[in-house]
Amino acid sequence: MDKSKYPLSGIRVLDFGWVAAGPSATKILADMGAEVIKVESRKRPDTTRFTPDNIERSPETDPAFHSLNRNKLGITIDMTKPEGCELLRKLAAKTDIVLENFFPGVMKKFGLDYESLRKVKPDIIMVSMPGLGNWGPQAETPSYAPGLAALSGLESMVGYKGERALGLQQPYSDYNAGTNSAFAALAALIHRNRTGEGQNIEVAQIEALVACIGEAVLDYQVTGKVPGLEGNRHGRMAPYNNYLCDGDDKWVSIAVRTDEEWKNLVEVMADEPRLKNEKFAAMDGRMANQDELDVVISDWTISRSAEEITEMLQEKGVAAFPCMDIGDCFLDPHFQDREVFIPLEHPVSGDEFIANLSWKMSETNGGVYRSAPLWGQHNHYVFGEVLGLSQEEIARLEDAEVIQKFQEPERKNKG
Amino acid sequence: MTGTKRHPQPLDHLTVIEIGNNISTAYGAKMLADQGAEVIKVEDPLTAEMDRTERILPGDEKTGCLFAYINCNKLGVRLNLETEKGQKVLADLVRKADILVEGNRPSRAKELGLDYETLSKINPRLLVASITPFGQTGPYCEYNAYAITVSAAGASSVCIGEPGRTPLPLPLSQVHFQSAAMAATALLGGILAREFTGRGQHIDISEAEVWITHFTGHAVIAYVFHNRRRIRSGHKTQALFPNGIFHCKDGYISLLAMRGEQWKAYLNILGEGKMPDWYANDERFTRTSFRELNVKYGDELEVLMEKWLMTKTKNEIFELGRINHVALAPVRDIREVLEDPHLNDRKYFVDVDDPQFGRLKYPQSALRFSQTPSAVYRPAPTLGEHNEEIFCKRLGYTKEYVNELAECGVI
Repeated sequence: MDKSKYPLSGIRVLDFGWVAAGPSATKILADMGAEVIKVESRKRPDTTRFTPDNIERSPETDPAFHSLNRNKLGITIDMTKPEGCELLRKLAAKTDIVLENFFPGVMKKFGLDYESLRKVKPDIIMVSMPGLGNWGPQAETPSYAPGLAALSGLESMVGYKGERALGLQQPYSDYNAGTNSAFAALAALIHRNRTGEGQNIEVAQIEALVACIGEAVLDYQVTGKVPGLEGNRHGRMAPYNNYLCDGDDKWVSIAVRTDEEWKNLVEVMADEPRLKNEKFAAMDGRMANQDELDVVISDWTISRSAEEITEMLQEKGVAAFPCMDIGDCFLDPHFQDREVFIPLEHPVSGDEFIANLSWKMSETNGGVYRSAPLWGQHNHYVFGEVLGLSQEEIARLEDAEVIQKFQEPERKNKG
Repeated sequence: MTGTKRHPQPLDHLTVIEIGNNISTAYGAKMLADQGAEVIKVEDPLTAEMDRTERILPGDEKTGCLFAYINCNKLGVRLNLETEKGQKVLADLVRKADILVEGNRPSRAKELGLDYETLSKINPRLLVASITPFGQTGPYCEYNAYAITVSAAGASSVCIGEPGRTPLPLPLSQVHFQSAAMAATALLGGILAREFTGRGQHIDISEAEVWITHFTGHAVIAYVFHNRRRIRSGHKTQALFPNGIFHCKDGYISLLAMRGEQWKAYLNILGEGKMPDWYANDERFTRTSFRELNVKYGDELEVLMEKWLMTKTKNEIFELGRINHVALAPVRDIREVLEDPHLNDRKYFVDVDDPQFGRLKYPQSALRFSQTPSAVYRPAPTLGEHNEEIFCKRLGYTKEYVNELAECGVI
């Protein structure tokens, strides 16, 4: 595959990201063609090598790891040994971007913080993604994605009206911070290309989340009302809900914003006379009688499939779509047409499907060109070719257990 | 007070045209504006009124602040693209721009002269990002969608809520903001590519696909090979480690123990310095591996845990978690977030004077650059506020011509 036409062709990233936040940022950079070198240690494995979806429990069989770390190179090194950190500083000197999401202070302890790395590479770009920030009274707080969503106020709005808070139950913070950090790295790269100046960027995940609910922060100041659990309610749209359809736990989302869309919905659901009631004719009436409206629409959707309803309403320009699970998305003709999932062979797990890039660029798209690295798979390339160490020197470092030697895992029999 | 624009900023040299008032296009352009790009927001005089008053949170009759929030740092003009003269103005804007962001259905974009083929003829160096629910191609490319629809399509809603009950969408505008952030990121990739190609390109962003590829798609292999489906699981995840939102004295506390030693540390908090008796004396718990606890005894453990949690406030528990290095976090409401001492110490909220709402504390860009710090230096534009500045000063139109355009309803 010709990577020279990818947007980040020739850019090297030293990736200290682990779990999901850091890796999801560098995934974007790697998809754009940057050479991302993932730094790992066998002593403290990336927890994403052992998620609940990893049925086989081998470090090389985790599907989430394969998805988040495709396109990256992998090295294994012992960062608790001073010589290991020295090697990483030398590598940083040949790198454009360094990214990390460790606990505050960890990079400094290893002599790999911005001030240290700037000495070996003056125009280095460093992106840190701490949960609560690298400074401030609560910076040193252990945090994972769910707790950060709780602290940001987001979780306080997730749940059925008048009931208990439920939370998102998905690692939203990780992926949100990931995109934000990739964006920041690219902006810094543009600045460096123009001015020759590198910089240190802090993306506190908590702040990146509060930015996502900014309008609620402002609304509260204007109205004095603290937003609570809103269920499926929207301030300007009715109907706005997920409705039970024919089948087992099948739902369809329907939302109406304009009177024209409403007229079209009534036309599609023509065999439901209650929708023609005057009180539903204008948005104010629909908002005021939303519970009743939901019952009427549910009575109509319950005997039809979510797909059929979607087709009928979209034909008339009304926003509707089934509540998909990831398997539904995988099998859907539209997403198949757009190659949202693509096959990728992994040396241990064999043929897998993986989610494609999150954009389609007409000229320099990037691509999925390499499966996720095995533990230490690219030690020899990185330390030999990138850093220029001799084979003897690499062997010495392996014997000293500074570089953790690559061990060929058992490959899956195919067929 | 509203701050001043500081220089240099990474995107100082870029001009962005933002068409319309979609939440995703507006937020994407805001991300570029926050890093210094000059964003010219082009609003259709016919639909601007409705878009500007978008209110996401129910229960209040006042105009919502969404527009004010996602349009600060921008310039604003009015322009009716459905007129021949309007199209000429658009072409003049496009000639001087680096990026155009739009969010129309593909057929509608073509009608408005916003398709890539037309735009690239006017300016081959222009990058065009189209952010639509389902992308530029495929059977659903003309489908209409709002936040709840995209959340459904992106395999997200199906995982939020109680088992068997109505799926819930992600709150507020999350799906739009995420598509926006991905579009802004891809655009910067396009700007870097332009440094060596010399040309612009078309960037197709499907909101549903941003969700599937970046947020939920990691589960596809588990689905394909092991038929493992993610479903709603209420206030606890279906994952194997103890993870969820639990009651405490004055609200809720979020707990996640990723590793066995974290679970032990948490139990020591519950037992105030030692493993609680109800746990230590129950062989079912002590003999079960950490990874199976939640599946086997999750409900029972929750009842036992909450007995202690209900005696403590969320801030007391948060502090105990911090000291003992356990991820325990209070579920905060918006008021608590705005008053949070940590965020305020970091000066995350900044005062902005909005012409409609007065002085409010805005969350600023979360990206803190050491050499090129960003600032909120301008509130969202009023409708057509910068007509004269853009059309006369930037495009060089005479005052007479601008008046003529205004009189025939083009601007």
